[in-house]
Amino acid sequence: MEASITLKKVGKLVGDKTILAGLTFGIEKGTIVAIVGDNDAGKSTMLRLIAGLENPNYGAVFLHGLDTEKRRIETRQTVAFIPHDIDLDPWLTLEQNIQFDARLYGEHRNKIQARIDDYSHALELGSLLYSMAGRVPQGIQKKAMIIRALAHDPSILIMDEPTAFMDAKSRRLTWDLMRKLRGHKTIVYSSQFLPEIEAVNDRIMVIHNGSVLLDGSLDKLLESTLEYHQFAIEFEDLNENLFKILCSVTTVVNPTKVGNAFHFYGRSRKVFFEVLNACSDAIMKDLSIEKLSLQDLLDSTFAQKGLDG
Amino acid sequence: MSAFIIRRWWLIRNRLMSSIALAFIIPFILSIVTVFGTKNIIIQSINGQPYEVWVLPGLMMFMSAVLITPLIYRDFFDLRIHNKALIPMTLAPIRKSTIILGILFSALLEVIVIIIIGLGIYSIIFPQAVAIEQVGFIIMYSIIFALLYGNIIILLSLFTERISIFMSALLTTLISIMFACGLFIEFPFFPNSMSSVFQYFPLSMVSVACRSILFIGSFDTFNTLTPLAVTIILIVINSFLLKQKMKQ
Repeated sequence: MEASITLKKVGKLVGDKTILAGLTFGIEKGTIVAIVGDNDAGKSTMLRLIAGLENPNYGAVFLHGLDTEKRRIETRQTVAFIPHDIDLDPWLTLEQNIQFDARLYGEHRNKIQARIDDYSHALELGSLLYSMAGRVPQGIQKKAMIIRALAHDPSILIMDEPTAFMDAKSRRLTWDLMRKLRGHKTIVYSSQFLPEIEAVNDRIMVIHNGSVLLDGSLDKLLESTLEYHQFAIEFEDLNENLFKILCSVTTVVNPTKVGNAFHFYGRSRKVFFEVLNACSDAIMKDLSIEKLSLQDLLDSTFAQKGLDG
Repeated sequence: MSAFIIRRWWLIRNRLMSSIALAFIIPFILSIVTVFGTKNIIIQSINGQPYEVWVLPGLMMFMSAVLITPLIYRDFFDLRIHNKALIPMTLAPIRKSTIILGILFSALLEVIVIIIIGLGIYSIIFPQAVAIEQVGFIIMYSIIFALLYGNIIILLSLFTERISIFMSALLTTLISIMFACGLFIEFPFFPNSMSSVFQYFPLSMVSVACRSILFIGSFDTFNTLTPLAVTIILIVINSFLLKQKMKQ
């Protein structure tokens, strides 16, 4: 497939600190890519670099094969960026904010208005579109920012926490719209809402300390964990001695104690019975077995060392 | 450029009543407080013009500075430090100089309208002071003054990050141009060493050139073109500075 976004050995420094280190990857046209990682992992910086809001210290970012630094004007025509924080002009209405921004891209007002109508209908913005930006809730402003980004019809949409400040219904409408845009626009976004990421993605990139730690579809990322399960056993009294005994079971991975509950990961259900044997004298109140999710994958211990680490 | 002009119109329209009120109140107050008292101290200029006639171009230039300041401050300082609308503007496929010129010229249009209202108010307060054939020159030089001063405020807005520093620098600049640029007090009233320096300030040159054409009838090429040249240089510097500040 044709690459829409290409990063070649991109690095970003702030002072002596490396924010991004030699990132090299491509993103296919028309796909939705989710960026996840801890706070301060470098997600926002990476998105800002792709959007052209900042320049890399080394390496290059290409949009549709054009270097964003050398062909600034052409590349900016193709990309739109939605930052995490509200950046609308509070003294203009939501509609005026959108109209002004799209006009800077040389779009005709009738075309802009048609897109505003379409997207505001999809996001159920209604008459709020004509309210002063500074007087509407942030979730509404965020929806207007999404329309603003789409009003000049970019082929690449970069979004940093696009559903931040939104209520549940607005989040659903936003992701419905993104699903409709799939195939027509390349969408790269970051989010802390993992259920949203699990629901809307063609590919997930896990960023850690400025590097891509994991990269692939959700199924591919979970493939390595498929044999693993998360177990939890709640005891009437999980004392230190019992906890030590349970930890000593060689097949138990990453054991933790939360109150009287013993949490651990295991490669097969057989581990569970080994643990049960080890604590046959203790009184158990509850137990559960779950398949691993993206949340488990992103657990810092896993992300850094892997399940077997 | 048209996008910036429409935006300016929207900003005025969205606060229409306060805009109209300020368009009359500011020229009225400035005319009253700066001229009535001073004309009893400086009765006439050195070349014999009544003070209220001599001061008119300086008053309009000062008014243009007072009016353009909040417009520039909002777009280049307030919105920038609060990560508001300036960031999406810098992401658009336009040059930084276009952003500088777009904001500056659209603000200038608002200023010109209020200057015209100001001239009307002044002609009511001092009917003999405003000659209709001079109005065009006063507006033209007020525009040059506002362009140059606006660029100085853009420079200040982009350099400073803290409101307290910005306000201190702004007040110092406004008071300095009020007294040291020949707007309200002629240069010969200052000691020779100071006046010889003051008259070469680019902002002073605008008032000197304007009065030259109004009261002597000669077009002062040097004092007209130098401020324009400085304005162009400042636009280039401000464009570069905006690019640096936005890390783009």
